Amino acid sequence: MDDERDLVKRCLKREVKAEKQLYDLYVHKMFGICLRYSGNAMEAEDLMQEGFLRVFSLLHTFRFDGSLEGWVFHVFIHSAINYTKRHLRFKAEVRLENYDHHATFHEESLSKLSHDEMLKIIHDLPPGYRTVFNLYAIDGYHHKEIGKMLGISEETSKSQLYMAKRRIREILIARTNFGLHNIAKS
Amino acid sequence: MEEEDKIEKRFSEAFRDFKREPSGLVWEGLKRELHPESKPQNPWDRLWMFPRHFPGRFRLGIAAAAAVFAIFLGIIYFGTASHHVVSGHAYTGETRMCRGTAFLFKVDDKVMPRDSIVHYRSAMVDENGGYRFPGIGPGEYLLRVSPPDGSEIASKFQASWYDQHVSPDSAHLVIVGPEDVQADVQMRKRN
Repeated sequence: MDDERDLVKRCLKREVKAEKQLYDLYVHKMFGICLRYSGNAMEAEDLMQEGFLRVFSLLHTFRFDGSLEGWVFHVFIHSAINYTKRHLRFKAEVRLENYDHHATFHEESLSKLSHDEMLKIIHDLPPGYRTVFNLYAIDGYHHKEIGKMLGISEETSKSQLYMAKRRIREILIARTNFGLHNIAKS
Repeated sequence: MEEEDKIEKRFSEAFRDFKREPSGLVWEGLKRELHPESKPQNPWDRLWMFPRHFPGRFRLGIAAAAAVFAIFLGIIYFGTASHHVVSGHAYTGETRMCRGTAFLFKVDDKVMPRDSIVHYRSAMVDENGGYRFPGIGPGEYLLRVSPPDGSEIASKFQASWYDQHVSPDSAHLVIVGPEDVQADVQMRKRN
């Protein structure tokens, strides 16, 4: 904790060495988050830079009443949301037609998905679905919080999550029924 | 458990502690944003036109090639900027001489008889009697035109120096200064 305090103090003094130390401490985890919230690796790097800039500019507001990692995570989530909001209007939402409620996917097609395949599936989701799916299913936020963060109603958040899961389910069904094992790689 | 719930659980578990390494460019970009005032730390970084992650040897090669190219352009520019064209026509009486060869000699001494005449350039005389020497630097020259070997003209006219002389000692100098020079040669008849 003292080390953390010292690190923050040195960062506030704008010591490059300390800034690099803080960056190295969280870079891998935060890049994992950026990859999930962005549409591809390049966007993720943009988001990553934006997130750390925000971290360093808001560092003076950190009061040491929780872990630094938790605070950095929180800042990054907000950066990701801002980034998504900026790009949301430029990406068309694609509606799924002829959704088959009775079809099922094979357990293996889900359990054997690699990280890269899962990332590809997440990247292929429309930004709205992707953001809500990330916030709710992976980062553990509630619909009420998500609604506040994104400026949407709780019901909209729920429906976006439902559509996201439906889209993923459809991809998995396609992999099961048609042996399209490369669908997520394409 | 519903399939949608299984999806949620699987993704949640898989990405709980998901970590990845970005490229080194993220930190470099971030550092530049955080410290725009900071100067590059070594001479290589002063070569701002090259991305910093390029290997040193590659950067050295590019820098050396750029320097050589710049020097080459400088030589071309400054080497030709003060040069001019010496041109003219060879005449056999009232008409222009058809074909032949024109020679330009650099004159290095002022003493007669001249013994430091150095051949400088040659040019073909065209069917209209014209000849042209481009890129001639400032200085004093002697111009000599000879008729085409074995031709009927050669049997009537002899090689002549500017303006109408048979000897370099009596020939007029072609003086190249700040402008192009027009120098016509009247061919001397054989005796």
